Amino acid sequence: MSDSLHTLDYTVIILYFAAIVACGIYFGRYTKSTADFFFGGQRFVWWLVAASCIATLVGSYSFINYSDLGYDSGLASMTYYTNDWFIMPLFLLGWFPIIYFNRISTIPEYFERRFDRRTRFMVLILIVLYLVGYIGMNLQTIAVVLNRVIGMPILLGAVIVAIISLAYMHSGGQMSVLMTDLFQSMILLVAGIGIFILGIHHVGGWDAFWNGLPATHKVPFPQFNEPANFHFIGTFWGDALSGTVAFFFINQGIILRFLSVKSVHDGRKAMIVMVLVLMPIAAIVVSNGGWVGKSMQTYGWPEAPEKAKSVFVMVMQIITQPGVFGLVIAALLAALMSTLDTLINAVSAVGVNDIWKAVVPGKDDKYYLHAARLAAVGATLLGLVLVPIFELDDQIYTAHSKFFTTILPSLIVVLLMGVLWSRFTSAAAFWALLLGSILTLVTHHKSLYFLIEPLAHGVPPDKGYIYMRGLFGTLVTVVLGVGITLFTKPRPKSDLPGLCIATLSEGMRLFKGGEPNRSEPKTSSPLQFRTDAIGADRVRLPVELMDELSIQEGDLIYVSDARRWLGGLRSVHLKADAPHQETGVVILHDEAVDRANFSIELPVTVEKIL
Amino acid sequence: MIDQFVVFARTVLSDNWFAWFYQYLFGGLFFFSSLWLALRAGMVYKGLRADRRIIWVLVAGFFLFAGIHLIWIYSVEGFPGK
Repeated sequence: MSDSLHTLDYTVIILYFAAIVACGIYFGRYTKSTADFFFGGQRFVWWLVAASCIATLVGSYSFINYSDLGYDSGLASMTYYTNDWFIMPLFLLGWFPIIYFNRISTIPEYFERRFDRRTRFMVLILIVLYLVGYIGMNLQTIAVVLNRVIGMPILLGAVIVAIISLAYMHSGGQMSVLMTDLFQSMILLVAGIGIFILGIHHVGGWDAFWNGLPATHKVPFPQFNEPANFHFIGTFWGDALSGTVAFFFINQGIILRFLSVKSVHDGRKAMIVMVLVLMPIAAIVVSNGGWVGKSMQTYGWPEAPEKAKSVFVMVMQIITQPGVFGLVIAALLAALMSTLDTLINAVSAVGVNDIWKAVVPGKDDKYYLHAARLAAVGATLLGLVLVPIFELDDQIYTAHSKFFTTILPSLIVVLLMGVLWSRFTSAAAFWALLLGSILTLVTHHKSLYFLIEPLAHGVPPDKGYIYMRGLFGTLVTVVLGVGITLFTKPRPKSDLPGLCIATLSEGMRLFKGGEPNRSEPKTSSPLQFRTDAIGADRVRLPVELMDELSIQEGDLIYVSDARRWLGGLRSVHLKADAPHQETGVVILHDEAVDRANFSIELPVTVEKIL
Repeated sequence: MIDQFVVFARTVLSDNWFAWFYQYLFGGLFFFSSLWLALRAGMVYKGLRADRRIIWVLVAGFFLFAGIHLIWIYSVEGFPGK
C-alpha cells in the first residue's frame, strides 16, 4: 500500500472498477451474435461512438507522456491531437464507406479482397504480432502505473487488470467495450478538466498560470527540427500524415468501433465531432498536468521532476485532495483499460475472421461467437505472458515499437494506393509492401543514414531519425508500387466492386442489394409497433409514412427505440416490405423485435438509411 | 536541397510561423487533392444535402484549424518575419 493514497482514494478506485465491470456485464447481455460481438450490431448513433472513442484514443501512456511533454515543451504538446484534419476527406469519403459498404471486418480481409491471399497473409502476420505485442505493452504500462502509484507488484497489477478487462468484455465484446468506454470517456474528461481547474487555482488563477509559463511554452508548434525526439517536421510527417492514417485506417480497434455505427452518415458525423471538438479537448486533458507543473516551477516548486516519477503523478499529489486523487487515478486507469479492451476485441476479430474461419469453415454463428470469446481470453493471456518478458528486457519492448514504426509507412502506402488507384496491381501491393518494409528497416544501420539525410529537413541523426525514416519509407514504397504496377497486369475494375474509390457506388449497391434510394434521410415521429408473420428481416410501414419519408419497397430502414438517449442500443436494420393501410403502426417480425431488444409497449422511430 | 531551404526559411521566419506555413501548405495539398479525388470519383452525391454539408464542414474545419493556429501564433509572436 502506498502512503500517497488515502482510504477514500482506494474507495473511489474500487468503486470505479466495480462500476466498469457491472457496466460491461450489463450491456454484454445484448450480445447475441458475432455481429454484436465485433461491431455492436452496427446499431449505434454518432454521439455514442464519438464519445466512446475518446477513451480509446487517450492511450495507456497519454497522461504520463503528454504531461512530461507539456512540462518540457508547453502547449505544443497538443500538436499530436490537433493535426489530424488533413486525412479527413480520405477517411470520410473514401476508406470509411469502403469498409462499411463491403462489410469488411478486418484489415487483412480488405487486403485479400482488394489484392490477393498472399498479401492478406503477410498483413495478417504483421497485425497479429502488432496487436498481441501492444496488449502486452498496455498491460505492462498499467501495471507500472499501479506500481508507481500504489506500490503493487508489476505482475500482480497486470494479472488483476487482465482479469477485470476480461470480466466485462468477454461476454459482450464490442457492445461492452463501447458502453464501458463511453463511461470511461466521461471519467477521463471530467477528471482531466477538473485537474486543470484545480491546477490553475493552485497556482493562483489564470493570469498567474499563464505568466508562469515561459514564452517558449506558449506557442502551438514545437521547434522546427530539433530536439531529435520532438520537433515540428517529425510530428508533421510522422504523426499528422503517417500516424493519423495508421490510427484511423489500419487500427483494427478503431475500425471495429466505426463499423458499429448505424450508417455511413452517422460514422462521418462521429469522426467530425471527434477530430474537430473532442480531440482538442482530450489534448488539454492529457497535457495540462505538465503545463501546471511548469508554471508551479516558476513560482518556486523546488524540484525538477524525478525520472522515476512522472510530472503528472507529482503534480496530482500536490494539487488534489483525498478522494479527488483517487478519481484522477481512476481516470488514468480508464485511459489504460479502454485501450486494452479495444485491443482485445480487435485480436478476437482478427483471430476468428482471419484465422479460425479459414481453419474451421462453415460453422454456424453461435460457434464463431464462442470462438470469439475464447480468442479474447487467449489474446489477453498472450499479452500477459509478454509482461515479464518486457520487464526482463526492455530491448524487446523497444524492438517491437521500432519494427512496427518502421514498416507502418509501407503498409499505409499500399493501403492508400489500393483505395485510390484501381490500376494498382496485386503483385505491386505484395512486393512494394515486402521490399518497402525491408528497405526502410535496413536504414536503421548507421552506415545507411545517408539515404534519409536528404529528406531529413535538417533533423540531426542523434536518435536515428525516429520520424524522418517514415518519409523515406513512404517515398520508397510509392516508387516501388508505381514501378511494379506499370509492368504487371491489373485486375479489371469489375473485379473490385466497392473496393476502391472508383467503384464505390457499386459497393453501395451490393450493400443494399439494389439501387440506393438517394432521397434526403428523414426520421419519423414516434410510432407504435406490433408483430406479424412477415419476413424476419422485413418491416411493413403505413403507406402515408412511406410517402412522407420517401421510402420505397426494398429500402434499408433503421427502426429504433424512440428514446434518443439510448443511442441506438435498442434498434435494428430491416428492409422495407410492401406498405400497409394501418395508420401510425409499424409491423415487425418477432425475431426482429428480439434482435432489436424492443419492449412491446414503447414507441419506435423509423429512418431511411439507403 | 531541402536542408538549404529549411536553413533559408528559418532565417526569415520564426520556427512557429515556418511550421504554420509548412503544415498548411503541404497538409493543404494533401487535404485538397484527396478532396478533389473524392469529388471526381463521385463519392459525394451532390443532390443530397447531407453529402454537400460534409464538403462544407471539411473545408470549414481546415480553415478553422489554420485560423486558430494563425491567431495563436500572431498573439504570441506578432507578424511573420524575424
